[in-house]
Amino acid sequence: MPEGAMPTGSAPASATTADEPRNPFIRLDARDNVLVARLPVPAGTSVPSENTVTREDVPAGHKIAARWIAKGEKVLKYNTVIGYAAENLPPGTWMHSHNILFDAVEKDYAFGRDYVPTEYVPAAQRATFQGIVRADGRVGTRNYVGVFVLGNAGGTAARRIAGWFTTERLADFPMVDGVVPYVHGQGDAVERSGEPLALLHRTLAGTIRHANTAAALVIAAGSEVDNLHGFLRAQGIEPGPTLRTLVIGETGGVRRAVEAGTALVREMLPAANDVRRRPVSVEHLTIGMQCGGSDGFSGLSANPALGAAMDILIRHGGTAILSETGEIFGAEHTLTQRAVTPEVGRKLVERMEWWLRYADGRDTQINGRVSPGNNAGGLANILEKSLGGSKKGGNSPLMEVYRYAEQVTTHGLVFMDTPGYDPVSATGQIAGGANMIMFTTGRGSCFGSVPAPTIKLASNTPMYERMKSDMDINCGVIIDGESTVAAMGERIFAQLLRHASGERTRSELAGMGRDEFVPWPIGVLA
Amino acid sequence: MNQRRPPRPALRLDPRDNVLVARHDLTAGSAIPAEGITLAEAVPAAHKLVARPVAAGAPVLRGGVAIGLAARELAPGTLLCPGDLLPAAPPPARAAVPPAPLPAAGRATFQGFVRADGRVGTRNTIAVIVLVNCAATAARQAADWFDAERLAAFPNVDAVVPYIHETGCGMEATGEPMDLLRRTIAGTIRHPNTFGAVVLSLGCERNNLQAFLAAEKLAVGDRLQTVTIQEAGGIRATVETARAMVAAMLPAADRARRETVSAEHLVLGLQTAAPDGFTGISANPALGAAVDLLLRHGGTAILSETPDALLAGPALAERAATPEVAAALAERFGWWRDATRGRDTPLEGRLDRRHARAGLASVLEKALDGIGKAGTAPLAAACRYAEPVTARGLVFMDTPDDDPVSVTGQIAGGANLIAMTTGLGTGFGSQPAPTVKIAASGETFARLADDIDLDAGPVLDGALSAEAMGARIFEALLRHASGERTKGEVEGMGENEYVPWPIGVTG
Repeated sequence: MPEGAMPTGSAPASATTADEPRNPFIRLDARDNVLVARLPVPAGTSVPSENTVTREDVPAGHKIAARWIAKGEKVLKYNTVIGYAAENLPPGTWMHSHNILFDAVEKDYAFGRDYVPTEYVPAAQRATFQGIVRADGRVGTRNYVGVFVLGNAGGTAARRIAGWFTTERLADFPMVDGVVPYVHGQGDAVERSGEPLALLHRTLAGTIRHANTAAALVIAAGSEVDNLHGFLRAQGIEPGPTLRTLVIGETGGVRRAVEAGTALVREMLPAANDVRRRPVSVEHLTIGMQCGGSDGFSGLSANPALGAAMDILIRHGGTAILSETGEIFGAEHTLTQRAVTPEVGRKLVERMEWWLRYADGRDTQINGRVSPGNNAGGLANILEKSLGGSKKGGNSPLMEVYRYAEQVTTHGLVFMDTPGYDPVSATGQIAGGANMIMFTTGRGSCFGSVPAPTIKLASNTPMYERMKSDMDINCGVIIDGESTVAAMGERIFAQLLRHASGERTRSELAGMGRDEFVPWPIGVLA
Repeated sequence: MNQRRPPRPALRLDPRDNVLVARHDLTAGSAIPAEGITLAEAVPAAHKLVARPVAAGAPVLRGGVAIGLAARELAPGTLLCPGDLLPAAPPPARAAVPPAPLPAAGRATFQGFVRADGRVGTRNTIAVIVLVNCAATAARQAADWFDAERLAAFPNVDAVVPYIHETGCGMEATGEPMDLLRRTIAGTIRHPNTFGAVVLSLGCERNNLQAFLAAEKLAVGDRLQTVTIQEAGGIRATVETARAMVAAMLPAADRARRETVSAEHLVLGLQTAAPDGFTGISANPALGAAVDLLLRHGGTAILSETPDALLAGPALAERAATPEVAAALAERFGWWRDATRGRDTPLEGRLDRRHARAGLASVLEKALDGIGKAGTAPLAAACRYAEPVTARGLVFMDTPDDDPVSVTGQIAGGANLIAMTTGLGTGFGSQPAPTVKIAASGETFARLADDIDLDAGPVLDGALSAEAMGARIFEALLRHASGERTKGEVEGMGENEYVPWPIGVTG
């Protein structure tokens, strides 16, 4: 059970004790001029380490000025610029979006300057997990039958076909984790050529071909912009015993399509069930990293702890995908500096420049303003959010940069260009081959995904306690002073191997993932 | 193949036409005696064949209207392909005919749910609706619990419907994309077919609950409840809370009763799905006749699918009843031209392959066919996507062609019934307002008898005039508005077809 990995008998959230002996604030770097509140701190609280007193109430995860900050001076957190002081700010001032100005920061890309090759664990000593080895050598962590739609018009049929296969009806197929629908809103009036249609098709194809997809039924209504056979041909997908197709218009309507589709899935179940888990090296793990509903603690606990776990994974030969391009804006130089080659670093900058053009003049986070939940959680702007978000990538070198839903073939830390929006981003990572998703959250996102499951990591203990039934791992113990980033990294890695071996995650138990398949809607709908 | 071949091999729509429409699949060598021609090549059903020599550059006439200019000399007996045509200027406008209103006492009626604000519902549902995709699973699990068995004690409640969409966060925080999403969700909540609603939010999303309620002036009360997952303590607790809220609304919802109301309370969304070469000959003119009739009875019809409306040119644009309506239309058309410039959409002039395969020859032909379902009345108003439709008469609402997106906007704007014509056929369905589907040919109707409600094939075969078919459609609309279930409802369609227009940047 996931509880096994939890700190049992952990101290209650520190917010309860007025005479808390620990400093209510955390200093992240000796050069910083802000501190982060560990818990809600009332005005007038003394901060002995800085020889100052809070001037206002400070919510948990928010910041105060550690010393006098002059108007226009850089605001430094983790010794990184997160904005500029809007006015002269005395020590103890609550520091947030109202007095931290968002503006351009100087970034030294220094492509590849700090690249250090990964020190791999010798092959014989690498960690293993119980995986499902497919004919092409790829390894699955789950074993699903997928019902896919080329366009939205097949949606209800797909959901009804998949819905027929209840736990009871799958009882004879214990190795099949489920029959799941992949329904989306696109496909009937998207742009007929170019990147929008290509992106949709490679997302669908990547999920159909995924190592966790044992068998697939692909449904078309017949009214899509491109036809089913053209799609399959272009993607190199061959119909066969584990890939069947259905065109609703040819079956005589929805009801008959549902009957025919249900029969096709039943035919595929014995083959899909004929798999066994066996120990395989973790080099076959590809982790899609996500953060959703971040707060001021995410960058202090869950994200760096996940980064530490991914550094371990990568030394064992595995792969970790960092994404959410707009949410590394301001911190991208920390990745380009450790890129394996200048070309890889430049690819990242090229993607970032595309985003700045794409979002020009739009009220999106790359232009500064983060979501209401992020803001309430203490993140002043996108620079601060990115600074925390990029910590998921640990310290490993950046080996490659991919477009949305492209097949990830390089091992190590790679980047995939996706929006920050969780369902869209995870859908692209999974289509690219991620066989597990690791999702950090401060506010408490409940995301779940198929066919690759999502493990959720809480950034703070109060939220973890409140949403225990949705969270797999509590990284708040780092904030509470009960664990360290390195120790949590070890613990996360160990729990990852259990989930990859089949232990259900919280979101799987809650039945999530059937409504969160969202290919990036990048084009114009006509 | 067809056991009973339709009487005529090819249809002549106008004495001036130089092309005919193949009524069924015609093989090379087939003779069309009435035209004195023999086919040089095969012509599939619903496609066009050249009946008279057409000089290069001369107009190709179908129904007396140029659907393109001949790209080269076209010989009689050959198949007309999209590649044979160069763009032609759209035809001039025909004067709009204001509907002659029937006296109130002579108006048709239906059985509807009269709501407190005077609007009339055609169904009685409870909504579980998400502000962001992050609440999707919770909404589905909450709503699905209310199956037929659990609703058996509430016979006047049609359904508990989950409204799930893909957006709500990672989007532009302000501006039209957020305004559009909010008014779509609010329009669904306020819809006369929605008795009550439970709104689910995650808590940290850009489409913030409090901001949404304030922007849309929605007040929480007995019939509008909210649950925030991060406050409720997770998915499971949210599902349980939402189910309890729905359960608490059911007794009051069940007390609603249908009563006899004037047809003027019908707000009909007009749609075409998967059109073919027949749609513009049979189903669309018949629906147009039904719309003219509905307007005489005081009702409202909403034409959408802006790409077709734009490409149709003056035939629609010059039907604006006032300069204000004309300006509103022009503003939307301008927006579309900017938004699609350089993108591979039909506005660039190339017909979709799927439409070409179905027998259409140009984007102009498809566009003119499309507006045929709006009848002949002037445009009383033009509004943006999902804006509340308050004008009576024929109203234009800006939407894409895409069926689920277009219908979602019309319903959010207040459409309490959708009429959808189709050539190749569609299984589409919608909530909370049902969709009545009309096939353009008897073949499609027979092939998709489980999905399609009405057959306009008799118009195609000359057995029924468009007006007579229009009267039949109008009667069927009244029956379905009164509660008779559509094929889409019987098949359980509608929950996966709620798609607010994704118009902005996903970031």
